Amino acid sequence: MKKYLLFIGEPSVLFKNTQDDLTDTHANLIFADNTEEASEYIKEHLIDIIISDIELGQISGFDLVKQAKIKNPDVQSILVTSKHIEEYFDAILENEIGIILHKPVVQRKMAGLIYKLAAKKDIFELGNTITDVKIHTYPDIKTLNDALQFKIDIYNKLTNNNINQKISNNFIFGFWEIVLNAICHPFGYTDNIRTGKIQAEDISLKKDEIVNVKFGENESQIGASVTDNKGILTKKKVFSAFKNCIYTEKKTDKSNPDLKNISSLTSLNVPVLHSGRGLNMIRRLSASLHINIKQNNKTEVIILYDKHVIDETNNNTADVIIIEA
Amino acid sequence: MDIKTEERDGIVILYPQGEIDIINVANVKNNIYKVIEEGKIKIILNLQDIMYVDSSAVGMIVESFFYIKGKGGDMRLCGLKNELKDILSSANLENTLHIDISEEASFKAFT
Repeated sequence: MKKYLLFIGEPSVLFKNTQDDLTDTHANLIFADNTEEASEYIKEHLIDIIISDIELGQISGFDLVKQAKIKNPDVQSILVTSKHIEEYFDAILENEIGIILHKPVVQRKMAGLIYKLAAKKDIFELGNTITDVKIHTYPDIKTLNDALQFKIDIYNKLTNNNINQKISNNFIFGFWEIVLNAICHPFGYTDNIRTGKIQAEDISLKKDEIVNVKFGENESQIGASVTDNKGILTKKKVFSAFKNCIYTEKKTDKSNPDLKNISSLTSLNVPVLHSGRGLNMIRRLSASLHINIKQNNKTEVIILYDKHVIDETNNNTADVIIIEA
Repeated sequence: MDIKTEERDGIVILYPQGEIDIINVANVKNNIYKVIEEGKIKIILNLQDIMYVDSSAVGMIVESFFYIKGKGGDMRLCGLKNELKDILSSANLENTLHIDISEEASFKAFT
């Protein structure tokens, strides 16, 4: 059965007259000129995917998703914004939004994501995430030392390609975080390391525990993917972790009057202080963070950084793209 | 990792070197906590020789900061290279931790 894709706001303007990129979705494409028209379509049709601005005037992209969920609880969405994603974590969690893109939207990139959601194909792999990419695949990681060697190799690649030092550092930071997450979290090593039961350097993955790494680059971007064969993440867990980080940051902010009383921080136990921070830092430092999940099967985390754009402000404008197969 | 330690006027200054990551983070934390357990609750963590930290190191710094604050003391950071500033900034920690431009500035803030 053909799927219904509803476009509103900037995505509607973007694709209304140039639909070639969407041919492979084999879907019914509906372009609403305003929110009233969009609401009418939602009442009449079972919408599969909403592609919309968050800020639409009196009602928001989230409101339209809510309306669409009445007829189709599994409706998916791609929302775009020019604001910081951090303003919206509550609504993102509540409405189970998986994909948030920052403006200006790149049409080809958005078309690729729409295809992935509509066709549920080509979700995984670095090669399906950036175009014209040259990929280097590393052998499966067995020990932390393997991962360290790959980190050094990637750092050398960046240096040899004259990638700016700041971008290289941020990329290596992101790479190492997603590698550690993939090695430690899915296979239950995290708590044992935290409590000192095992040393990180002693981790040796078992035969059935697989983590692999790819590095890729094209003209404008560098990227890495790290995949584990567990698939324990969900978009809810990821956005909950982001939300927890923001909450903790606000609570521990020096300007927070409650902070005068240090005992108010006793509720911030160690796991809360640590939970999700690494991933949230990557989100802030990268150009986009992709998490592709096949539940209980595999998780692929992809980080992309712009090669030549140096963000001196750490401006929090990374796209977050979580697709559950 | 051996951490060089100095004490001036009741203020302990720690100078970790190289990288702080998941592999040696416990060692650095133990050094800081050992000082605190000795009742010395004014600490300067001079990071001038630190080239790289990961999120576990960031977590350790935050944890140590709140631990020493809970004991009525303070831990100030100084000597951060730009790379490190970026990393801490991505965790919004400049709004939480006490970060100074130099060891002398940290020292002054205590006295």
